[in-house]
Amino acid sequence: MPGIEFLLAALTPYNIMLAVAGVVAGTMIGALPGLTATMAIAVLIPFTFGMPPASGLIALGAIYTGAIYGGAYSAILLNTPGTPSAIATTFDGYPMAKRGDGDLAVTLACIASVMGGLVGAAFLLMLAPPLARFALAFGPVEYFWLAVFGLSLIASLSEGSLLKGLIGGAAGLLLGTVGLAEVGGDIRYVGDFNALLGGFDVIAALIGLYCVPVLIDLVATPDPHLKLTHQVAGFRLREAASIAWRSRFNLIRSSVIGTLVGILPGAGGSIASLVSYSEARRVAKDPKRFGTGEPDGILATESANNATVGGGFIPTLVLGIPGTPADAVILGALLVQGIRTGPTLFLQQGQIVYTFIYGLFIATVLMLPIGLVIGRYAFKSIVSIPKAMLVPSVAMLTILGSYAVNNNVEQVQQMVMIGIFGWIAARFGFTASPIVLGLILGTIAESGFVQGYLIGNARGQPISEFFTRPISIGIIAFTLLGLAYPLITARKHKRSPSNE
Amino acid sequence: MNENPRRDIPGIAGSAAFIIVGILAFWGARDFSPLGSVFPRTMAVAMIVFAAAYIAMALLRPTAPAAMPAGSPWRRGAVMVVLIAWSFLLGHVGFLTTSVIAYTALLIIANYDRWTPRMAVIYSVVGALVLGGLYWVFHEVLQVPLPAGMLL
Amino acid sequence: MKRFYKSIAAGLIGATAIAAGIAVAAYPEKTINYIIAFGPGGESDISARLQEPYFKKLTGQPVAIQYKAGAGGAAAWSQINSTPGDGYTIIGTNIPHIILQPLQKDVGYKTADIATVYWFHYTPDAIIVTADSPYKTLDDLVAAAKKSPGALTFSGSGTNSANHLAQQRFGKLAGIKTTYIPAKGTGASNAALLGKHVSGAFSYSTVGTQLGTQVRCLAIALEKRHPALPDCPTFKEKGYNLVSGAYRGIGVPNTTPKATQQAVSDLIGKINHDPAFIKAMEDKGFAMVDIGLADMPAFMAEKQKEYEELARDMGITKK
Repeated sequence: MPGIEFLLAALTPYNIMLAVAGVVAGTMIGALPGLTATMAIAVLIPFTFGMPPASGLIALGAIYTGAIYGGAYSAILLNTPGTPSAIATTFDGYPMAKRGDGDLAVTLACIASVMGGLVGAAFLLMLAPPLARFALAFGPVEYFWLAVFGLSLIASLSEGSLLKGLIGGAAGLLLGTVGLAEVGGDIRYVGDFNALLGGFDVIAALIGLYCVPVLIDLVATPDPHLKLTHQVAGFRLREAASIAWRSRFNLIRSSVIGTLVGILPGAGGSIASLVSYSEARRVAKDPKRFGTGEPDGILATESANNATVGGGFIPTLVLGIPGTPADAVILGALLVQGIRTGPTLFLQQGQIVYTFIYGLFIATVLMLPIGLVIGRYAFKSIVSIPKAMLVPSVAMLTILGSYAVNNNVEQVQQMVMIGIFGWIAARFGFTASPIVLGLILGTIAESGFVQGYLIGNARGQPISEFFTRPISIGIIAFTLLGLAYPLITARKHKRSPSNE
Repeated sequence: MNENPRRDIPGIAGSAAFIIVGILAFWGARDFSPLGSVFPRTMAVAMIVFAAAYIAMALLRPTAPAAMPAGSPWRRGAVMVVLIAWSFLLGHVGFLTTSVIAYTALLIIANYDRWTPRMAVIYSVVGALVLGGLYWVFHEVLQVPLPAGMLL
Repeated sequence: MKRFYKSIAAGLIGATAIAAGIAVAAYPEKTINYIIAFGPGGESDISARLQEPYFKKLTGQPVAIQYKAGAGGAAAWSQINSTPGDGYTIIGTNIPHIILQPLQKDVGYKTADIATVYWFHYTPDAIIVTADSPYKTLDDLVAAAKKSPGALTFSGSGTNSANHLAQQRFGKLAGIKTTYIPAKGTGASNAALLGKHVSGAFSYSTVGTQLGTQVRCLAIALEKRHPALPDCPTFKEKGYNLVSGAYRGIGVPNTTPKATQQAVSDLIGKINHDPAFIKAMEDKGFAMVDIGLADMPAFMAEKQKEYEELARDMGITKK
């Protein structure tokens, strides 16, 4: 292992204390809807300026990894992704919690996050420079197809009707075009509402679409929020571990996908978890169980999004190009501290880099005990709080969270209106997830398309630019395969009806 | 699904609404630059096509409409009203004041048990703690500049 | 209304205090809220973070940096004047943004509404290519562009941004046609550059320092060469009269009394003259400027005229 001598340097009591504090703080911030990993880091950066560079970095890495994991709690227990990267965790996490397995789901998420985090950090340690070059091979055209690939997931997410899912997806894509287009410069669909100039904020929309309907339905009946079928005693760690062991291939595959997507600047945890979710679903024996509380779904998304932490640091440290928005903040902190990122960083400032990477390992391992304890506590409090307290408290969190994204009152209004729209749309049979997918992937798809078209046009081949590049062809093939696979398996099932 | 073949009237109505939105979006893109209008126009057309296809399918093949969840519509409506009022008054009146009022209102809406003095005391104490705690965390620890408005 | 009286009162107190000669010494007495109109991690954030320790060092009072991103900065700028004008809310302002945005559309504020009290640095535009690029000098690049008009692609941050304007102006000065590829921020533009998806980047000088040996700076839009990029010639040396970039300044709500505005302006000026701060800023590729409150009206009038013309040429003004 490169730089193993720095493992000891990372293992000082001071650094371990920082890692513990960072993971705890990050997990709690990540669990609050609206408070993202990016924000957690931005707020806590000034505290790291007094520390030695490597220690400061360890603290930031610990906060980051904790926050990404913390997003799973609210996804599982409240159906509200605490951070955008936990969107796909709601698909199976919330159904599990509803049927009484919330504690199991939280423990699974913890195991998966640790696993993903370790894989991501291992890639960062061993293969950073070559992987950074891989990231650079992704141009606008590839991002366009990657977004299309993500959108193809709508097909598998549409409970009930594929067409309704597609309508919702298109609506989400249209919503994403509102406001000032950074790429292209048009001001679209704003009219006289200057509040819409910034467009619909993804996080505010997420909170609205997922959480507000839950609140609205929660008050309608006296039934408890989550079923409790058993006495909450242990962590159900043994049960979770055996599920994770059975799904070890899923875990490893999702972690690798997470790392690779994390390396791509501009993709990030939400896409990583969506891609790994759709892959897990595609290869599963019984894809129909996904979306109804399938443990494999949580394992896939949570390992993938935590793997993006290590993955995202690869271009950040090797190239000086942030892999995720949170990395951009950390990169800023590095610059302020006078650390020059770039290809020579590993050689010239190896001590800082390797101490940091081992620190990330330590923080990730620490996440297991810390995450289990906090997770159990979160689960217990959500199930035992009476509804009359839960509803206003969660409502307050949605208000605070959507405000804190940009310290903007208008975003709170957006959140509420989009949420009520989401609830009404669901009554007409249009579910939230395709709309959210469209909203998130729309800007990536559009800027990829516009840039790809401009570049292709300059080369005199605006259309073939999109279909001739090798990586693009690969992504297109995967998309088609993903779309065709359910049809193929459906046929197989028809042939052998005994196969359930 | 096949036991009671019905038409998905809400789905058809919703799709019709999406068609109208699609037409408006397509029409609204007329002032955009060529590159800025390609994407919204394509999406608007896609939405219109999908919605039209759904309407055709729903008319030809009976499908069950989405189930209306059981429960009290009054309480649902009340939650929506409280959330809307909260979000729109937040900036003008102030964060703390609106939150105390909205929190109390939601607490009353969500409560199905009979009010007893004991419960009232417990709920107000816990509620004040939650509210105060969150306010403290956001305002002091995370330094989020919460809107003060006219009151606080 | 209450606020109005309050600010008058504050103004009166400020004025009398100045008369007593203690006002400047008394400001600031508590934490200053420093609003960034963009998200964390960008150039505005980095330069604010570099300033941050000097507030504490010079005045004993810290600043609290807050992000209010949206609509390319317009979300924050359109709301700044509704915050109390007591000198304890300051905001990062940018040229060309605050001039171009209101020209393009009604964005909820006018350029004159933004009370900038100090322009403290500017980030010059620069042409950056990868280290192994066939274009060794600016002349190579211009020659290649003349050979095949439109085929050369430049990534840059945003549409109608400082980068975009510089690319257009340079095209006109050199008589060449190149294609501008707008990216979502400097980071995305850098990725396109290093991945060789574009011929080069029409970006900021900070890219040249940040990406280090991976890239080569062909020309920088400064009057004189930049100390951190001594090998990078200026456009002027090469015969193109292009001095441009994004100015960053500090603004206050326009209700802030003149005396307080002056105090803020003086404080930023003091930070801007700290040798350690200057070094940190220049190492990152920023260029220092010092335009205080006294020079503000003339400077703004000049820039307004300059960018109005450019905007008209590019056809991005309001219809």
